[in-house]
Formats: sequence, C-alpha cells, structure tokens
Amino acid sequence: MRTDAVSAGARRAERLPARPAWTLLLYVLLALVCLPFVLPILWMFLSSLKSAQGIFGSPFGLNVDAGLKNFTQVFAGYPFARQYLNSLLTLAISVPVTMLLAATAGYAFARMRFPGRDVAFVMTLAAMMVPAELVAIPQFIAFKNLHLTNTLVPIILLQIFSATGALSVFLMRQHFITLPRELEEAGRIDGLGTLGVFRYIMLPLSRPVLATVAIFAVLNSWNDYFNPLIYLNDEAKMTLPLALQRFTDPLGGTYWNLTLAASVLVALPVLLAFLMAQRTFIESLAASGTKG
Amino acid sequence: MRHRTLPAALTSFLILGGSAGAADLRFSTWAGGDGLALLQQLAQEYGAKTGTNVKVEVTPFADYSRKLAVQIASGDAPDIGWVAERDVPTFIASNNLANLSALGKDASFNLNDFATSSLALWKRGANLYGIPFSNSPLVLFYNKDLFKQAGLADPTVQYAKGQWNYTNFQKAALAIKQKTGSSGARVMRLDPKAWAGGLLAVLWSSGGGVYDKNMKCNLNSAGSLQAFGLMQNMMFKDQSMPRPGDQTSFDGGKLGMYFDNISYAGQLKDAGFKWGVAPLPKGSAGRVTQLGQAGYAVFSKGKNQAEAVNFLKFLASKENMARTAKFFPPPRQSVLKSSAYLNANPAVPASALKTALISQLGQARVLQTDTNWLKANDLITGSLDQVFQPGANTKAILDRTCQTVDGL
Repeated sequence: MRTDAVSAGARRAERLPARPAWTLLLYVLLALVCLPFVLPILWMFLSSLKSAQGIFGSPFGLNVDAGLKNFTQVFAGYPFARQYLNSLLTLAISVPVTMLLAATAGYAFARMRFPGRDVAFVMTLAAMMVPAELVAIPQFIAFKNLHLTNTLVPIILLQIFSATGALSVFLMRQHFITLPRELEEAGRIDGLGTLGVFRYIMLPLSRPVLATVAIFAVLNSWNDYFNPLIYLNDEAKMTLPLALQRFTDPLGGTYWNLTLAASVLVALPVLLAFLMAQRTFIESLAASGTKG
Repeated sequence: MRHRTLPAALTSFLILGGSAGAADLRFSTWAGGDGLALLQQLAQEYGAKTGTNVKVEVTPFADYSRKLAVQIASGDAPDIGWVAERDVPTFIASNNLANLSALGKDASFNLNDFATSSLALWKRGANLYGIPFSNSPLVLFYNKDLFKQAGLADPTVQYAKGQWNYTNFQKAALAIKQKTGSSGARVMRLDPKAWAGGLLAVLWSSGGGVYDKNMKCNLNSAGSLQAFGLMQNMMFKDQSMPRPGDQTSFDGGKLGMYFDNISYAGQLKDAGFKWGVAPLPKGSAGRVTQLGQAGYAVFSKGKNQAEAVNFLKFLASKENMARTAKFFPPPRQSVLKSSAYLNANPAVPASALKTALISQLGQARVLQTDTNWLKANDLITGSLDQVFQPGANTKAILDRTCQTVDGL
C-alpha cells in the first residue's frame, strides 16, 4: 500500500515540469529553517579560533586572532588527550555490548517462550521511565561496596543498562515481531538451531534497526554527563562531557576560548560520522519507524 | 599469551588508570588550572610532612553541591573540601559540617587574624563551621581607554575627591555611551541566575536588599526600588547599560565599567586595552560592596575528622594562605596587608588594591541566605526578567515576588 502510494507520487512528480523559481524558493526556505541549527555550530567553530577577548569583543567577527593556539593549549595544559581516550574506550565497550544485549534480549522477548517473559519485558520498559537521579544513590552505594567508584566501570555498565539500553531492547523486540515466522521455520528445516536462526537469519535482517540502536548508544555514551559527574573524581579519569567544564580559572570562571576549542573536538567525530553515514542513518531510522 | 594481555591491560586501564593508591584523607574542590595545581602541591607537602596521603578530588563548580549531596547521602563523603558561599546555610542546617570552634583556642592557628565579618557566614552562635580561604569584595573594573576617549576623570580620581557616587556613575556611563558608542556599565554577570553578584551591592548601597534583618524579602522596599529605578534608567532611558541577555562583556573592550571580584583580573591578562580597579560607587545608604566567599570545611560524615581538621589548619595557616592568595583574596589580615600580597599582581598596583579592595572590607557584606535559597534565587531570576523590561511596573512585580519568596 505504502509502496503504491510512493510510486504514484513519483509518477506524478515525473509528469510535472520543473519550475526553477519554485525550486529556488524551496531551497531558500529550507536554508532559513536550517539557520537556527547551523549557526550555533558555525559560531562554535569560528569562536574556537579566537582569543577570549575576540569572542566577546566581536562575537560574530571573522578575526580569528588565536588561530590554532586554543587547540594546542587544550592538549598542553590539561589531560584532554587522556579524557578523550576515556570517552573513546567507554564508547568502544558500551556501544557493541548494548547492541548485542538489545538484539539477543529483543529476540528472546519477541520469539522465545519462557516463564515470566511478559513481566520481564514490562520491567525492562519500566527502566526507561525511572529518572537516573532517582536511582543514583542506591546505585552509587552498590558500586562503592564493590570498590568501583572513580573508575570507568560504573560509567560503562550504567550506559549499557540505561533507559537507552531498555529502549534498544524495545526497538529490537518490535522489529523481530514483524519478521515472518516462515523464515525461522525455513532455517530450522535446513538444520539450524535457535542460535543459528538468530545468527544467520534474523540478525542479518535487522541491520537497519541495529544501526538505530547504535546511533542512540553512541549519543548516550558520548554525551553522558550525570554518571561521570557522580562517579569520577580525578581529572585524568573524566570523560569528555565532564572535561568540557574543567577549562576554568582557579576559582571556576570559564575560559570560553579553550572550552569552545575543546567543544569542537568533542562535536567533530559525531558530526563527521553522521555526515559520512547520513544516508544509512536516515534509512535505518525510517525503517525502524522513529524518523519524524 | 597475547590474548590474555589485552583484556588484562584493558581492565587495569578501566579500574586503576591514573589511580594514586589508597588515600587517608579525601579533599574535594572545584579549583581549576594553576589553583588546582597549587592545592595538589600542598596536599603532597602535607603528606611528606605528616605521612598522611591526601587525595585531591575535583568536580566542576556548576554541579559541585549536587555531587557532594550524593556522596554524603551514600555514606561516601569526602573528609574535607571547599564549600561555596551559596551552599553554606544548607550544609550547616543539615548538620553536614563539623564544628571547628576549637580552632579559636588554638594559638598557633590564630583565628583572631580573620576579621569578624569574614567569619559571619560560617558561624552559628558559638559554633564555627568553616574557614574562608577567599574573601573577595566586588570591585569596579573600568576601561581606562574608554574613560579617556569620553574625557572623563578616572573613578579613582573621583573617589579621591569624594565624588564617586551612583549619580556620577550613571553620568560616566552615559558619557561613554554617547562619546564612544561602547556600553557604559554592566552591574550584573552574564548568567541571569548569578544576578546577585553585582546587583546586591547597588541594592545595599541604596538601603535595600534581598532579605531584611528578619530574613523577610526586602526586594520591594523603598531602597531596593530606588536601586532598580537607577538601573532601569540606565538600561532604557540612557541606554548605557546592557540589558539582561546582552552578552557584552568587559574583557571584550566595549564596556566602560563592570562589577566583579578581584580574581576577574586573571581573565584580563591578555586584554587589548588599559584597565584599572576602583571602589564601587557610593549610594544613599553608603558604599556597600558584596563579599564573595568560599571556604574550607570538614564534613561531619567524613571518616577521619581529626586528621581533616589538621589538614584544614595546614591549608589555612598564614604561610599557606600567603601562597593561595595568589589566586584568592586572603581573609587573614596579616596576609592581606603584607607587601608580598599587595605587590603580587603587576597588573593591579598595590595602591589600587589598597583603595579598591582593602579599604572597602569594613563596609563589605556577605549575602546571608536561608536554606531555600536555590528556590528563591530561581524565583527572583524570573522576576528580574520582568523588572528589566521597558515600562515595567516594578513595585507590583516585586510585591508579588516577595509574597512568594516569603511563602517558601
């Protein structure tokens, strides 16, 4: 039905002659809509090349008086390289594990029968609804008793078993429910066990949804501020969102030039990753039904 | 073998990376840059002297009290740490700070070296809950180049002649605006929630304030209304004062005058213009400046209170306060008046420091707040947004605000 509608729309578009004026107007309108999103990012890039005086003296001027000095200072005067490594490591562990758990748990909730399955699924969904602040103290006590505070372990575990993790399980379950049972049955006739069906049939059909899960997990990990704030005490152990708050004078006043240079370095990988893979991302979001 | 090496290295990175081993004392701070380096150095020196291993823990200032609250509630409070002025009433009321009144009897510590006014925030009756390490009155930063271009006498010259009052402050701001095109003066910080830093001095100098002596809202008093009237005139009639939300800052060089703590001078080291410091103007109720404070406190739920008190004595000793004075105006009178302190910053001459800072301490006040300050601050921030609008009915807005603040 949906395919028919799309095809009909495409045929109608082919019949209509191109109108350059309308196209131009459309582009102008779209560019205007984009401005509020693009301008702050451009301003951040521009300001990262200015001195503090330049940022406030001429906020929208093009005089990049500091050049790359802010960037060198970010690495020379602060443990930023180490903090970058901490964030990358956290991401490298939490994202694949979140994907693996979401896929396996989602499959189990969708296709396997076991006692308490529905209760367990509702409990998983409940995890999405409890604010992190509410469970912060009991979680902190648990990790303290395990002598794991001031390490990256609670950060990684809480990213995996977070609301984003629960959402990922939900997305995967909803996806697996939509796949025809005949595919599984065909696999079983060919001699595959449960794990084989999951590994060789269901998982390859889930790439778009897995990509969605990956996007959410990456953003959740890269931007996590609350848990590192609560658990990490050493500058060298901090992850990037916390590190951005550490470019200050002795009493806590912000050095905006350094903070903006560091912000560029934090935003850049996510921005580049999205630009390079935007087609896949949008397709996956459309396939999972989360695209607006 | 190689397969085992990677997980082992990863585990040690995740769990141990950067660890300095078990600590005997945990010291919590929001210090950054050189200030943090000095505190770490002091912790090392204390360790070498006493054999006590002190671990310095760092949290960004914006979320410092939030983290401390979680640590205290989880039974993982640090032993000793910095406490910000805004958090002192709450921490004292919730019995989270240890009583340090015994320091008054310790001759070697010499508590009398601290001015009585500098300890007011930290005292409840005879009990003392902290020792300030930073006692920083607001001073006026002024752009000498803009004053020269506008043909105005420096605020220090006007002060020496006894003419430096809010009337002349308003006139100077207007002249700067008209003759240079730059903004004349900014009283409040860029962050709307930090309105108290700057505005309070104007309110107090006009006989108003946030709270009266009975801790009732005083924002709608005659003195407060006079102060708000001055600022509204400067914003909307003269257009010499940036409105809230305007990001014009002093270090950009396009602002004639600005109220801030002396530590702001650190952000002006690369300024492309000449600047100076002067006392704040005098109002109808005197020249009252606001004292910004932060202090050392021992947490009552820490595990090693006795040792924490010893470390506090070490940090707040005359010798070490002379070292931290490089960043924070010292509350110890002996350090404050020493030539070493007065001549420490070549950008601020000793004579200017004496006039703008030391001579003003007698009239300086600390903002005394209630335990519901964070809520009150949010409410007042919202009200000020309405007050600083053209044609605002200030009295009616502030009457409503006070009713709500008193009802908290």
